[in-house]
Amino acid sequence: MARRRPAARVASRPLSAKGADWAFHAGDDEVLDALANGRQTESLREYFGAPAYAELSALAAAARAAKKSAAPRVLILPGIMGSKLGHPMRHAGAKPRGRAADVLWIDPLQIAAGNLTALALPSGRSLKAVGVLLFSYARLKLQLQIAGCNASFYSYDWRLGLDELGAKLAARIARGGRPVILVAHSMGGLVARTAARILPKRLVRKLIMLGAPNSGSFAPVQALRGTYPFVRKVAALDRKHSAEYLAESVFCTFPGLYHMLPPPQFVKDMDLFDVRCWPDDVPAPKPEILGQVAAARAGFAAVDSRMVHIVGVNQETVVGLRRTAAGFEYAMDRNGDGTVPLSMARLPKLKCYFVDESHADLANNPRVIQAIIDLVRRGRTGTLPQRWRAKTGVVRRIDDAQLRAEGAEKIDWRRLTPAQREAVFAQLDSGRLLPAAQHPVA
Amino acid sequence: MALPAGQDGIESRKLYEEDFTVALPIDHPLGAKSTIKVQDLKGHTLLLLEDGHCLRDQALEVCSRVDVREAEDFRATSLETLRQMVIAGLGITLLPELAVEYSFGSQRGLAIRRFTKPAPSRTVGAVWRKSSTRAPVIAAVCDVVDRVVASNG
Repeated sequence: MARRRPAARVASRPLSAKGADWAFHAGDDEVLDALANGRQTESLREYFGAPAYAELSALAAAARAAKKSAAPRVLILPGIMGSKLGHPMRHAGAKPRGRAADVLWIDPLQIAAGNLTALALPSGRSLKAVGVLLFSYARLKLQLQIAGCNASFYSYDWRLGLDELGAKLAARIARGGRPVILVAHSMGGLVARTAARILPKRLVRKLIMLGAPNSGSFAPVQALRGTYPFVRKVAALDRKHSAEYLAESVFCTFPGLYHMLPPPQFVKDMDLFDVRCWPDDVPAPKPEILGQVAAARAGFAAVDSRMVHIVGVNQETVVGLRRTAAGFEYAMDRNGDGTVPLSMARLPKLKCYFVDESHADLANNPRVIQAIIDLVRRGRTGTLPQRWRAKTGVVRRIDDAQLRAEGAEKIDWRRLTPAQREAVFAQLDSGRLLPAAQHPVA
Repeated sequence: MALPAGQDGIESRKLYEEDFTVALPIDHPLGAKSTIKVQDLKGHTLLLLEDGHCLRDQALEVCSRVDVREAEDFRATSLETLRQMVIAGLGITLLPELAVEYSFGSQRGLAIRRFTKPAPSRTVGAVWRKSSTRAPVIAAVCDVVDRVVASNG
């Protein structure tokens, strides 16, 4: 999931009873239609922030006017946590049976009410992917449409394993029977590679990955430990549960997270697929899910000339870990996108373009979007460089105990001013702490 | 693994027989039958695991006497892939009984039908190197499996 572009400096209007709620719960097409038609203005302005709202409205109108193309269909796959999860409404126009019957991820009011526990698997299996987080991916889709591409979203239930998700995507493409181009952010890149292994080559004409953790990332390690900044920020909004509780009883039930753990050759002296290598305290990964990781990761298509990768660099990123008395201690440098270390994103023979951007914002970056349009239309781009000089800067270390000490205060969403809400929401998955916590990161 | 293992230097012991079942998309015409005869598969598109999986060869053997079409375009890499392909309506497949009953994945959108008796089946057994020093341990594990199978009928 990407955060929104930097929050508006102009103060938002107070949230009405409905407020941004409509935008949190509406379908993707409904929102894009409303943007193009100037409907639901107040809700959408709060949801996207005023500057992004203005830009996206203009883009949506232009996309509507753009010539429909017969060119290959472009499917946009979000990253982990980048698809909305909820109960699909029975039929169009039906009134949702209260909020719980509708979108659960992501809605700050649902998080505040402690309802994230409903995501836990397998009991939460009835929740489905019901769209993408538009503040992360709308700009990319609209710009592709304006450029004449036949672009659509492919949302998926990011809690599930890569093997199941890859099979579902492959089945969907196979049923369509026509070639597609896949533009896939983060975890989506691995879902796409899994599908590409299953499908005949002609059906996947091109795969453009954005920050795909091809050899994993340390973010899932921290998420399973309850020390990932994003998990802690979500927990700060939850009035009922701690980050440790959410990690243990919710995030630790998601095979999708486990399947992005770093394989043994990327962690010195440690096999994170073996539960005995993890600290003894909780939250801890579940051995039965951990045991499936290697098999799921064996299902990726090998690199071939259809694939390219756009990677973010120059962001402080966890690049290694070791066991200490306090749990895990993480080493950080700037050779990565803030979430995925460059060494674990790159693969031999995989053509790679570089951009100075954070993992979460890759799909929102204007130069990345231009590069994607070039790659879709011509198969190459001069918008982004193919070289980057690795940073040899100071390595910073931080451990689980320090991460747990940060951002432990609860934030009462109901009592925040609209401007504070906007700031909290905008920063939810950035590397920074919530403004209310008032701690410097370093 | 499924027997016979068919290689020199290894020992094997039979553990149990398991029937094949037919996995269909939910609205497939064969779903109207309560049980399915092998001949009923005639003319249908069969989805199979990629080369190298024993299940592939077994399914082909079951279907060797009837004229089925194999969907050759796809490299189904796992049982999960097969399930999703069937759900998507791309064909039908044969699944061993245990893969149906204990699957973690969703069975929604999938109809499972048994074969008419005598149902085609496969033999599953334990396999180990003759030179293995762990024969007593392997035998103990096999005994446990035998007891579980016996108690479940």
